[in-house]
Amino acid sequence: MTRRFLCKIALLAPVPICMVLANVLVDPAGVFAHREKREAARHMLQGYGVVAEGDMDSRQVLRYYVQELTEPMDALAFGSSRTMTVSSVSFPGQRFFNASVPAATLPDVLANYQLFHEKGLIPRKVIIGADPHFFNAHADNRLYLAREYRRALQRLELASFSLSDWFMDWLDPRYLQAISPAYFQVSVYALPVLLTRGRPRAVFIRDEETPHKMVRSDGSVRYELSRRMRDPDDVERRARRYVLQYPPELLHFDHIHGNMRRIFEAFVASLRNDGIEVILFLPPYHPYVYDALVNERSCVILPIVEQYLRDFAEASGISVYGSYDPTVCGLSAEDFYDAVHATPESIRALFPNASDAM
Amino acid sequence: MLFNSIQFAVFFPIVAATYFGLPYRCRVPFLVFASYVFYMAWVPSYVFLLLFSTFVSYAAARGIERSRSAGLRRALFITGLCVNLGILFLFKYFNFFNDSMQWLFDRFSLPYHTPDWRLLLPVGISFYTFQTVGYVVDVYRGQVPAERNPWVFALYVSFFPQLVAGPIERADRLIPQLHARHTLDYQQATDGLKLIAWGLFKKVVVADRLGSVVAVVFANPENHAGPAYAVATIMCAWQIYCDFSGYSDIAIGSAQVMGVRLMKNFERPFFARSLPELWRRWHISLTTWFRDYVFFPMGGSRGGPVRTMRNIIFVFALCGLWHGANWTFVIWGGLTGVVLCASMVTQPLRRAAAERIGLDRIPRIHAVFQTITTFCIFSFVGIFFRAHNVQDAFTIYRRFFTGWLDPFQGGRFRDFVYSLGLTKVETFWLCVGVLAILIGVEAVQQYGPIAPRIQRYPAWARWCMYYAFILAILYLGVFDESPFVYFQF
Repeated sequence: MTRRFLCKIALLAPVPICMVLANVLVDPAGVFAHREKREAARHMLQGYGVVAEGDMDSRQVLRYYVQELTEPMDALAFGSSRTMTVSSVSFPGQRFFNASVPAATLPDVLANYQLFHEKGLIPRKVIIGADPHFFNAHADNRLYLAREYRRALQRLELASFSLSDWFMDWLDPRYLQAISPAYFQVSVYALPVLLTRGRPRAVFIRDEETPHKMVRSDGSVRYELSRRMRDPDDVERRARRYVLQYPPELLHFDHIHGNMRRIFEAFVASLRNDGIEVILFLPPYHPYVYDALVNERSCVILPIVEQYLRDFAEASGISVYGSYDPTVCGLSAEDFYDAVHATPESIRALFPNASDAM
Repeated sequence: MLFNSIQFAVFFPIVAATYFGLPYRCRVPFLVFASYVFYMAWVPSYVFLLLFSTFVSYAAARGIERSRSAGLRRALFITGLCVNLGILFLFKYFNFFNDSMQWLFDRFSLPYHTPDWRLLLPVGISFYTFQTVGYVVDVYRGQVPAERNPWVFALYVSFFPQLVAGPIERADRLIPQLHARHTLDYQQATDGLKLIAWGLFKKVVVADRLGSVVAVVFANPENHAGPAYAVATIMCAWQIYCDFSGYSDIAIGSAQVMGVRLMKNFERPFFARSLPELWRRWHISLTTWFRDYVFFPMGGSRGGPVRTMRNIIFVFALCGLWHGANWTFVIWGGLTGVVLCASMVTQPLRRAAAERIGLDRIPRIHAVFQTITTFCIFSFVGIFFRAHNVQDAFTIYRRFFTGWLDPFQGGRFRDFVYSLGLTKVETFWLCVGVLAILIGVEAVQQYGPIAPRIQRYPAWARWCMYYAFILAILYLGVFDESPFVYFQF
């Protein structure tokens, strides 16, 4: 009986095997292509920019970057893609690195900083690109550097023990990715591209003039030409669609979540205890998006979060640059690539005193 | 530990294999251990609450059985009830009660000072509390003997497949099964695995896909019009059904692999032709619990129609409160009770109307009409269930009847789809498609279980179906480990 049952179970084995093979061999985000990411990190340290045709897991690249890094930076920036355009140009004469990652949440910021902290690479200045959804308990808080986040919480004395967390800490995230059905879906989707065009490879260049999206050696992003040259109507259309769909990270966001707030404040306090100057950066929204979200779609949490951050910064003696409200920082629709990403030039204008503050 | 998580995919095979590999006398303690590990995957400290509830119910039931004095029996019974319901009140309803009193006192400008305890709701507390309360009542009534073996009783309270979201089992069904010596039964185990797969399909392919639309529309009550609410309300009903019945299927399937038969929790409720029938087929373990431990003791339907209706409305309002510490749930429950009463009262009228227009002469059309009407009423009342607060619910009801003359609000269908929070029109059709598959399968199940029909096919065809089904789950599912809706209850 047992043997018969086990035989039938064994017949199901091709399914997980196929899934693992697809995930590992197609590997659309390059999770298993560690050599390539290590290469990318090394080249960035040598002053090269990275042009990757496909998606490159920027959290893993960051991990390798920190592993290879020997000297602390003067300034580090942490945030989401909305902060990724902050570049070393805003910090002249300083060693700057932008450690922001796409779709970052507050746990991502803590985890990314933890990488530097654990290696003793304490910067003199930290710029936190504080997106409003950092304080939304309902925002997608899936973590890629879960272990680092847990260790960060332990350092801040905010960790609580849970068996699930322990299990996830113990398991290598790569193994989880190999058996991840969500990754399998992306792998299946990417398979035809892989078969017809081959595996996209990263190119390392010093010249900025490339039509492709490039991660510069300072970690900041220079977007692809098609995005940089978008006509205003297209940008407006994208902004309208963003509002229409309602940003998922702002769903059910009607108050600042107590736990996220506690973590954020403890994190900032720990930075200041380490003698680090903290700057809060509030990345602006497209004017239409901000106006429509706040006035038409009752997303009043945006000004609430901004006010909280400003009050907190004032009480803690922290500088605040930017504003979610583009009119406050004098930006217009032409200063945006899409609904949420401002152009590097407009971002640069929001950091007027960065070098003086040093 | 969620059933749709990678942790459970590792946990369950290990537990099942170890269970069958152990000597019989070690199996129950092992399952208790495994169940506690399962529960501790959330907030480990709340395991003490589970232990406490188990200990109190065990001791109260044993005391009731051994006591010869009626007064002492009654005292032990009341103690058992009060402790279990007290835990439930403290952890689930205290803040709600406190906030409501605060609101009331503020209205009259009266001072109201109570410590504001923001306790985290322990997962599954409503389910295991009802199970222990039912057990204590059954022992007091002499319907079941008090369980002597503390391990078996601890397992009865904490059996991991049904610990956090039911089905709420009865002692006379579950405890004898926990005493039994189970061997791996091929048919039962494979049927259990098929049920797990079907439950996963309902959860990750249907419920979580529809859930994204529902979440967006219900999060912004002021920003949509009738057509969007109609879509979201229909999807919401199916989402909740697929989410919870999917959970129940995985729970029943997991227990079945280990030889334990849990009670059926759903019986294709959306194919019911009347609201009373729908409620007999929806969350069966909870509705029968309320029937046996609240409705019947209140007199049930014995005291005339008015008293029956009063009892129904009260029981459903209580059932609503069980679902969550929020006035939306209480109103939803009360409203459901009112609608059920209306359904009973108007039954002769509806029958006469059907005869008059000749609908009764075409029974199939009549049945479809009744089924759709029942579903629409259930979904419409369900807006209170899903809305974040009473104000939002009223806003949705108010706006539900707007915008029907221009369903896409001057835009295109694509814009309408975007307003539902979807990024592609194809995703909308995918939602409709998976829902159609589910309805199709359930329609076939109306004429008997599907498994024996599949069994008639040759092995190669069956296995092709299995592979296709599993790949469909993997490819079409939403794998962000969304928690089950009923976990919050």
